[in-house]
Amino acid sequence: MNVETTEKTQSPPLQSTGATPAATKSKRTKIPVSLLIGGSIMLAWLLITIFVPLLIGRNAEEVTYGSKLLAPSADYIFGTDALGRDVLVRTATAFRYDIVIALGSVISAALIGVLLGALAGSVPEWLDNIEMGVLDVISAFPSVILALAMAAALGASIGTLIFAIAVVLIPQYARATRAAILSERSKPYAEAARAMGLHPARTVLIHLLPNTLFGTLTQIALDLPTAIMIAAGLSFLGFGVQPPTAEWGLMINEGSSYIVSGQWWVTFFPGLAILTLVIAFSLLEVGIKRFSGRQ
Amino acid sequence: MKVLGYAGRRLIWMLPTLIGALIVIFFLTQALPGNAAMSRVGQFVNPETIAQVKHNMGLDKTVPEQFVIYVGHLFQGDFGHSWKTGNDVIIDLGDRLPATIELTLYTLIIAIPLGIVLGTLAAATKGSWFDRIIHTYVTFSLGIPVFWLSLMLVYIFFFLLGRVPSPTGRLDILDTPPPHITGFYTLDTLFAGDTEMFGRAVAHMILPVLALVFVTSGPIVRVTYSTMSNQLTSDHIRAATASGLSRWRIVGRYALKNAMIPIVTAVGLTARLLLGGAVLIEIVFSWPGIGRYAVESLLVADLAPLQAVVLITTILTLLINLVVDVSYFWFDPRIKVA
Amino acid sequence: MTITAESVKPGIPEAGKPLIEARDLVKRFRAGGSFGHGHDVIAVKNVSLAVYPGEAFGLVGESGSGKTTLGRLLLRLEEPTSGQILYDDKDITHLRGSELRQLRSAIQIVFQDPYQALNPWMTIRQAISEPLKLFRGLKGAELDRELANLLEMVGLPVSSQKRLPREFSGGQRQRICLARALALKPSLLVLDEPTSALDVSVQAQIINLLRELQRELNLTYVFISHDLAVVGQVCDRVGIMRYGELLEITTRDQFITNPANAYSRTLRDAVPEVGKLLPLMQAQEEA
Repeated sequence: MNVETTEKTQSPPLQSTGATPAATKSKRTKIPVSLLIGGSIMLAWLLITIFVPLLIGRNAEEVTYGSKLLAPSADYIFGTDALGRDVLVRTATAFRYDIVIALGSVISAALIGVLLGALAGSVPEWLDNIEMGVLDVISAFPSVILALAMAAALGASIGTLIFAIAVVLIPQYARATRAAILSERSKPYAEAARAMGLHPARTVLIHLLPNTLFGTLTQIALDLPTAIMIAAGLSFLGFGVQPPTAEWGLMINEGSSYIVSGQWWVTFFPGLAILTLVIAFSLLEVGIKRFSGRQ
Repeated sequence: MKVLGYAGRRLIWMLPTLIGALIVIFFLTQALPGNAAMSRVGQFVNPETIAQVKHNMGLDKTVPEQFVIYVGHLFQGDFGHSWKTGNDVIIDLGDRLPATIELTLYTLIIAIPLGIVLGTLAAATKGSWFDRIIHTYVTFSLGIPVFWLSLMLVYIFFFLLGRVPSPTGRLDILDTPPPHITGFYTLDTLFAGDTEMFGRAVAHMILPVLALVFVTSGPIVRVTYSTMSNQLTSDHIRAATASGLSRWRIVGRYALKNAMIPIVTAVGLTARLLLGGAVLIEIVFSWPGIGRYAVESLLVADLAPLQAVVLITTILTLLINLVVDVSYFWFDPRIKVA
Repeated sequence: MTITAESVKPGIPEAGKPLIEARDLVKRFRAGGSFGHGHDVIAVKNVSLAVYPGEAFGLVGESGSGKTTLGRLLLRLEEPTSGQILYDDKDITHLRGSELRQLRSAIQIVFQDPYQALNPWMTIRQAISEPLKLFRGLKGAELDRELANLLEMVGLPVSSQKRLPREFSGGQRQRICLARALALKPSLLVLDEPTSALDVSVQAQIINLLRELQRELNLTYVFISHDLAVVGQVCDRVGIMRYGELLEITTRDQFITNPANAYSRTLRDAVPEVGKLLPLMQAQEEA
């Protein structure tokens, strides 16, 4: 090949083009406040769930005779419930189950949903229609009711909760991914991949799919609080996590009969816990959006 | 009318989904643990009686046969029989459905305008303290479990302040319901001329509706806020402002109309969420609606009521979707029927 | 009114066997409507032409004339509704699957929109080495060398390979697309409005690059454009299309001085720079 690059019509020197003129200013990407706060709350909960029971010296199922329904005090910071168990320890312990259920169900739903969506966007239309039809049936049911029916049918436990909530969440991922794949598919770079002779599976998986992932991540952040709410709701009704395991929704139920007689703490603290976690997820979601927007 | 044709076509396309839903409902409830016949007559009865009861309940036929029979009954308006209450399910539904609808309707009537107004105001006063308060409101609205909120409200307003009646359902324990005209106690008491009972009916509704409104207005506020924000910075609104129209007129008439499509979608979403949330509220307040009916039936494996409630809520969900989609044509004249 | 390639040959130094040939190509699209109420759009109506090795064949026409569709048909990005496509005398009209994929290394395309033609998350290196790895089996030092070679060929610094597409201007991205297309060592390059999305000053650079590359690599071009001035600088022969039909095939000089078809004349007259093309012609002949 010729070496005289001077004969070549050289392109103008490389410059960062105007796509994000502001971003080129800050060389180091700053982490948004919301991400910090959200992350701290999550971290705090992790520490709480591990260390609080140890520090207090009681575990979630421990019954101390003679200490039923004690109001919050120095001994029992969150009080005790109807069976004499420490509400603080139970609230701290319950985080484990709820976060496992939330992460388990949402991530399963995302994985399965994205694959189904990619499939729907790549196969012939009739197959696509069948798949979407099935998903439509699932989304026709109100989520709580469907999850309730499944949990009841399969026997309430943490595993069935994860399964039931995942089923409820899958259609959204499938639909969003399918739409994104169909839209990316018509873009020139997808055609270029085809024109290059790439195998269609490779095109979808390696070229198209990564460009759809941002929407998926946002959806995951949105679904985590939803999953926790459904899990808590189902446990509240008695079809989720079973006693004596500590779970926030279940605890709210256990305390509900005592509200009218003024023992508020059994119900209050688990609900507060849910609230803080949901807020943490919202902040994380906002933070992720801002962070990737900056890039 | 083309729109009617579209609606008609959508209804037809709904059928396969509905049939699929029926299949799922039927098989899910079949899968419920517990021998339905035994739950009905107890475990200690001899096998022959159980076999007889099974036959009476039609449980000895093959599953596909049972399904066909089930669907056939549905078409005749026969939703089966609840052995727990002793009534035909359709009668139970007739008693309980109005209770749920009364709650949901009042919630929607309040939550939708409230959400739209708050969202619009927040968008119009972007960056102000009011805007921030609304944002906090939305975060809490989406983050509070509705059953927990209800219990806390009961604690505060009933136990501490004594301002509302105890959560024992739609009326005080000693009250007899008014003569049934609409099934809505707030209306029927007025029709019966009993203003005191009307007051009590309203009092019993305050907390549940308050809780529901708080939780369901969040999504509406959020969507309204984001679409209105886009609208208010768009070119056509700037043009309107430049031509001298008053700000509130612009917001109300021009910006809002264009924003309606995403808002209506959010309203549809809210209505669907309500269907699920109603179950939880009814348990907390002992509200005799279809949600509580379903849960109670579920607890004793009384299948027919459960199937009926799931079916109704599913049909309502599909109808809500349809109404929302059809409303798009009304709001956006550019969309034409394909 | 169709004109076969055979009837217009003057001006080509070596005629002989066509590299790619279309015979009576038709492409019909079904547009809109449900339950069979849609109507057909015939994008390409009975088009026949031949492109010879080493030449630059221009396809001109207004938007909707079918020139882009014709280009895509040649590439088999679309399937013809009827008719034949022959590449190097072989019938490629109905190729499928892996056979079709093998054809890809012979015919490549550069798209109109450089902003969307590159995968946003892949670095330049990844984008160009993909065909090198998969279809030419290159790896390691060999791969690096060929990559550097290609970048140099299109006038980009080798250091740019680690960057993402969004860091480049439109003209640079088009160069990257060219490098990617050339990675497979094609014989035929279809260029679909390659300069239409670019600034005028950048257009000139890309056009010059294209001409150099054609000379160096002995490429054959099918150059699709609605911009006659650009076509005039690159192409030897020109096919004029309108409403899906190929009206006329003529040499560039003929087209500028005396087109046979009335529509061609209208097109030519509409170009403000047509007066500039004449001296260009002469300059090229002397080069």
